[in-house]
Amino acid sequence: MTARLDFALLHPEEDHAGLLAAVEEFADTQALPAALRYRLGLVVDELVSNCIAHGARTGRDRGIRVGITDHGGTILIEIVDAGTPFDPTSYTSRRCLDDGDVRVGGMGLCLVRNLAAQIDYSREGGFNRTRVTLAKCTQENACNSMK
Amino acid sequence: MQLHEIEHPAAAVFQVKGRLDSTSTPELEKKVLLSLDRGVRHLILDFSELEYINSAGLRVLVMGYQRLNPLGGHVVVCGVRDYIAEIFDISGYDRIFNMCADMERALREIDPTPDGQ
Repeated sequence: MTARLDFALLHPEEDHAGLLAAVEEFADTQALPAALRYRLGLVVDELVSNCIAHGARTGRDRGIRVGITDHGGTILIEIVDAGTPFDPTSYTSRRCLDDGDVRVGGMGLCLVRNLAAQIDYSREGGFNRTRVTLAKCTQENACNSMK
Repeated sequence: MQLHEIEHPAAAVFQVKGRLDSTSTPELEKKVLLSLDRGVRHLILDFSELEYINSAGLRVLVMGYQRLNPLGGHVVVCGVRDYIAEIFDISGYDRIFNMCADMERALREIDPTPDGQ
């Protein structure tokens, strides 16, 4: 049985904390284990933070829409925003720290890439549509197909 | 987030409780920067009561590492819950920070002699 959360951030900076609280509540309702609850909150947090940092600055299209669907075996996160076209699947899925090179920029996306079982991106009608699938398992190595 | 700083002669020691996210991280960052500017040699973060950390929080630790590592100092992270430890693993940051089970071991990391002699 599927369950879904839809959340619209009309004023993304101000609504960000409310979104994360709603995600926590959804995780509670779905009785998600601690590791999955953390992954879900972190992925949503990082993707929306990225939209806020690089997204549309003015106008009616500043808003960000977030949808979370619990499909039983997987959780699908959909983020839709009207910001600058940005394809997160083009970003490296390597570890955030490589060969002693400590990178600070792009850390959030690096975490998302490594936590996701799958990421899909499309640009439709002037909107970025990012879909992240989380596997519902607790062993990090088994969950992660991209590392 | 609740932040508690513990006095120590050789390190800045912070106990962080609750959520370390974009809203709360600036408070930790400010205190860490003050400690680094004071010339502290090591940074210890007690995360035993930390419930959430995102990339903003991790950046503060990396910033501490970038300042302390060239001087021979360490960033020691202790008590991290299992589900958060995963983030240190997949990011690779567990290779630059000293990860410890608890505060006692963290203090030993920066001063390995039994009596601190």
